[in-house]
Amino acid sequence: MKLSRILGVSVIAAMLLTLAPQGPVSADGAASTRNIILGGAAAALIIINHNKQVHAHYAQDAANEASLAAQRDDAQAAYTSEKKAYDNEAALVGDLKREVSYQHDQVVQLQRQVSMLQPHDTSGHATNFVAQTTLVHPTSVGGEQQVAVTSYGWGTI
Amino acid sequence: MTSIRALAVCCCAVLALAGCGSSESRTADDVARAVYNDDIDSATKNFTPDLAKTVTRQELGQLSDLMHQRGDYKGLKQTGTEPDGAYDFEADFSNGTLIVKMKLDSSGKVSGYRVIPSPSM
Repeated sequence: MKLSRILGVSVIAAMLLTLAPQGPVSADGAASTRNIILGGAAAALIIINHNKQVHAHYAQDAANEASLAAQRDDAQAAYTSEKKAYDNEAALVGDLKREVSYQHDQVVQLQRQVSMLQPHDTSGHATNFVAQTTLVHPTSVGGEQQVAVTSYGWGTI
Repeated sequence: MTSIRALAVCCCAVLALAGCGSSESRTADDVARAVYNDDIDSATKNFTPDLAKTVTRQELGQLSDLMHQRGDYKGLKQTGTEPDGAYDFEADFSNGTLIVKMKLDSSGKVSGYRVIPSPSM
């Protein structure tokens, strides 16, 4: 944009120069040829520099886009990885829930079996003839230790 | 004559000491002997009505068998009292011992009676 303005101003200046009063013309063919060559070289240099800057700018833009794409790809990869980990955790939780449910069923089933093994009184209620009773044992250091033992009898102690 | 009197006094003292066993020990001993003999009426005589209703002949027989596995019943001695009011005894047999825990209600009736095989067995 800035370069276009400069070129525009240069063109206008050149046109104004053509309107300026002309001095006496001296036919110097060698100098004219040299000036044409120098002008062409200068124009070529300006164009080359301009192209170089444009290409550098494009390269920078491309590098930035590439960097952003890489970041975006990294974020996408990280998201995918996290989602995969979450899915695995959710599956694990599901497995654990199923395992707990299975163990609960097993416990209930075993409790039912134990209840069926226990003797029942005439009214059909389970008795506690065989039960777990706490026994207090003295320890070697003068303390007491409570031990759960199997006891036989009636009532609770 | 004097020696006869002394002997009589000694006999009376021995009998008095023999009767000094606590009522809990006597009750526990009575129940243990009744269980050992598989006598349900004697075993439940000192039980509370609710507890007596839970005793079956089959269970009494099992407990009697458990005692007979240890030989002849010789008696029991109190080994302690628990904070909740239960009494601990050690029943002595010719071939081992059993731990007996007994609980009495306010009227002195047995509200809980449990036998534990001794850990050494």
